[in-house]
Amino acid sequence: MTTQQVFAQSTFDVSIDSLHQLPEVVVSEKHSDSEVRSTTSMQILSEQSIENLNALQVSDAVKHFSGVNVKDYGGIGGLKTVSVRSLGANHTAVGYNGITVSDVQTGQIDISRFSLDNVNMISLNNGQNDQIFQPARSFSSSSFLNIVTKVPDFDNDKDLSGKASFKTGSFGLLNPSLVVNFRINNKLSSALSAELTSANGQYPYILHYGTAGKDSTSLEQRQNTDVKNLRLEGVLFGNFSDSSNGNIRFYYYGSERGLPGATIYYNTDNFSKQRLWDKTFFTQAHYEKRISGKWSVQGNAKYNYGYVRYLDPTFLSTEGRLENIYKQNELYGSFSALYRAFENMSFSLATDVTHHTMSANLRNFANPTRLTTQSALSAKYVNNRILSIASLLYTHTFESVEIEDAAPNKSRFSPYLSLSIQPFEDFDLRIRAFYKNIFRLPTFNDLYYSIVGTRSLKPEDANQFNLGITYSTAFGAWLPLFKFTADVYHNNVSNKIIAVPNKNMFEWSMINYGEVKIDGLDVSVESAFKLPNNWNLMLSSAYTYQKALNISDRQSSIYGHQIPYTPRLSGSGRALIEMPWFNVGYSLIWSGARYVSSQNIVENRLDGYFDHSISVSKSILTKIGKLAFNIEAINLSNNNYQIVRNYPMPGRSYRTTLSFNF
Amino acid sequence: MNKKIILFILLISAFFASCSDLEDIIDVSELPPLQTKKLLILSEGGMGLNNSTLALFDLRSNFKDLDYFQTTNNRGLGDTANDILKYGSKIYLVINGSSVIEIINVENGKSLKQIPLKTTDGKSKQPRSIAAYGGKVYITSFDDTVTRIDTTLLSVDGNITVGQDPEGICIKNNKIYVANSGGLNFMSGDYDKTVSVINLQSFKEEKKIEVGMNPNKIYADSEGDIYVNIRGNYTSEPAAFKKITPSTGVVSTIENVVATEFVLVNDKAYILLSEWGKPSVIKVYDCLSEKLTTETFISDGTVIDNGYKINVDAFSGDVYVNTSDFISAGSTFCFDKNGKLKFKLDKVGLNPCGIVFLN
Repeated sequence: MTTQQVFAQSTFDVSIDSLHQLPEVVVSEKHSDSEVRSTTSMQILSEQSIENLNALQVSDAVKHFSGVNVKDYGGIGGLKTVSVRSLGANHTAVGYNGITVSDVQTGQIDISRFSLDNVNMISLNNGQNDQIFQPARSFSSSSFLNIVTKVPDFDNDKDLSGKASFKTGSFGLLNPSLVVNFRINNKLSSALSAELTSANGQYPYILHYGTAGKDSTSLEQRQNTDVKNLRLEGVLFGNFSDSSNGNIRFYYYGSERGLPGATIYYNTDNFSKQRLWDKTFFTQAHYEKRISGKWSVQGNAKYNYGYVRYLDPTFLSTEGRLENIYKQNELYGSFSALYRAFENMSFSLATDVTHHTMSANLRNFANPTRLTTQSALSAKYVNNRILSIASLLYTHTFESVEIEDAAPNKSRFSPYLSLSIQPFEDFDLRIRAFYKNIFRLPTFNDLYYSIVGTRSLKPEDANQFNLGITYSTAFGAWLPLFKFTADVYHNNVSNKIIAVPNKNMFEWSMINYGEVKIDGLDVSVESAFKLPNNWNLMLSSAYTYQKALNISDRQSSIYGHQIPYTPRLSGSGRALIEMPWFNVGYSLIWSGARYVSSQNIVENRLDGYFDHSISVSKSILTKIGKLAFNIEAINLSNNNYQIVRNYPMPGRSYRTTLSFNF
Repeated sequence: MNKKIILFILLISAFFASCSDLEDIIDVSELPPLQTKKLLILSEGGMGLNNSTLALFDLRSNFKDLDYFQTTNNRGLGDTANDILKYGSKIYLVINGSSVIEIINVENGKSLKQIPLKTTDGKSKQPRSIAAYGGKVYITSFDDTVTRIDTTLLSVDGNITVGQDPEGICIKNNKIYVANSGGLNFMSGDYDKTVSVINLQSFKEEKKIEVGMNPNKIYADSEGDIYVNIRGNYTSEPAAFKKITPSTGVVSTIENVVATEFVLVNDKAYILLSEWGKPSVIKVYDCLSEKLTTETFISDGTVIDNGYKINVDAFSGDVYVNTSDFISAGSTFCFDKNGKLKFKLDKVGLNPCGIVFLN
């Protein structure tokens, strides 16, 4: 089993103990304990939770985590990036089954490409997770969002299993998917999946010609919102022995979509003509082996090809259009070794090598190549009441280009330290703390983009301090689960990479400038109640407070102002009632007011919002499998709220899903 | 209003006008106000943000309305307003992103008409700059055209094709001069290098004069000389300040002068030089003596950071500099003709550009 599957558990399945033997030093723990035992703040959404979230895409689910800002341009095809604790999307790593998905051009991962079909769980770690036996790249960001897909399971006598599902709903949504798992022999199994998502996305919205609330309005329909995505995936799993296993995965994602653009007054039409084509192919492999009681090793490898074509047919250059094509290639290899030195103490060393290239149809584009080596040395101490991890990451880059000079090579040490203590033996209250000093490298756009790129950029630095408590308990039969976590944190981002008009007033270029100070609080509560007559009630909520202030320049008119698109208060809530006949789920995402640019003035203020959704689901066990039916109403209050100014979100919509597990 | 002074100005103007150009039409409303009592300051806002604003400042009562257009019309001005012109009893607002010309009444700010500017195949024209003459306004647009609007009918009455991505426009001696920048070819570097000369009566392009890479603002002096600032390609081709002598067609470089922005009023070119992180500099070039007469216009030590656009009140000679850091609302500095700070308006709008002076 891969290490990331360790977290692959339902948060509500409190009765099942861990089936997976961790190769690291661990104390036998219940699955649901991961969040409370973690030394950093860790949040998990299990498959069962996701099913009741009214979520179509990974981005919908991620909005339920505390401390998270999903910048969502609206609709299925709208760009969605994740910033955690106000550090900026470039500081969030996104992993697919534990291996980081990279975009060396922009440094930001558009998570709209990830569907929730076949997802087993989504986890979000601030700092890093408590695993030390993992690739070095997993240590190299300030937060890590991991998407873990399902591992096939088979009934005893069957060699075939899977799921067929069909979703349809408002705005022309059609979403068929199929997963088929084969057991080849007692060591090998495979999973094949295919998914198509298509929608016209044309939702109605009210365009307000002003922000005062008393302005004229018109009823419009979002245009150029069509999406067509195809995902094909194949995995071969090998359980070679009790001590060795591995898998190899092939993944293809192709997408064509319209970019509906900002709703520009009097001219929405012309701003909704741009198109985007995306193609991603990767293959990744994982192998791990326990050599002895004390030694384990694992290897990971990946090849990734990314293609993006952007077309603006309204651009008024001589050509009469703007067409950009960007291609990226990545070759990645990682080796990690774990040494269980003592009963309570283990050490690990991981070394990764990544080779990135990028080309673009830009005039005199540098076609850069970056070779990054990362090594992480870690130590972990565990007993019943104490968990502590220390790690040191060393990063070195070697950069070369075809035209002009390459950016200087960078080398950095990044320390990390975390601790969790349970002060009282019979009381599951834990105090935790972590510190991490990390950075994000300048992207290829930052360094080499025509005209604006600056080769001399330094990395953008982030410091994270976190102090929290976790508490978990159960009260008899009626409250089998009660979990509470609260973390206060202080982050600091310096040497921010931003664009400024640095020579005269119309030549922009990238520089390292500015500093952001972030103080915040994340709280989450999760509970499960057993009610009479076989009813169950699950309630959970997350709450976020973020004071993220620009402290770049004391003389500036924006000194001490909240950074753009960062609400002071935001949160989410979920409820699920399980009844003998059917289940009813409710979910809520809410956000306070935000500012759309750096200056905190009323003109730049964007109102807060509430997004309520409900679902009713029913599943029937038949002889040949489980048939499930789900109907959802999303954004019940039908409010075209905006996460990004001038990008209205869809109003009320409906979805229905029919799925069959066999 | 003092009728005698108006009459006097009229006579003087008529006299000079008749000396230089018999065909000039003198329109009372074209004269600068005798005493500026109100300012209308246009701010571009940020691209894609729908936050262009027109701010009204009453200099006597200190009354201000930062979003005067919105207050008056219950709707926003639109996205990326680039130019403003008062002509007659109307004010013309050129909104590039929204691709409309908004025409408002000078007296009360009410919109009289909003004219969408579209190409024949339905694309936005993206209008940029405006000039007026003889009952018509002329607008350059990024679709490589100049559009003529009749100021009585308030409708488009002609389009002609010029060079690439025209920027500045001025009208003198029966000719329209347009600076063709080619600025939208910034990715390929294939900037335009020409000024189009258009016959006012026939509304046809007569010729293109090569002036240098990426010309931007263009103005005429009373002798008919045309001044244009060249922005270059920001790397190998440097910026320059040039003069066209229409009678001979000769283009001459004015040595040792470059201009980030400039405006030509009363035969003086007021030049703004801005460099990020350094105080901005204002220079004055006399177009009659053809000499740089003032190296540093600001005489009282006032420091302006991030000077963005320059405007001059033609009657008083007051010089207005708008500033922008592109992320917060900018300021407007007003200097008297001797370069002493008269007043400063803060938080005027995001990227303030043009100013209309009203009495």
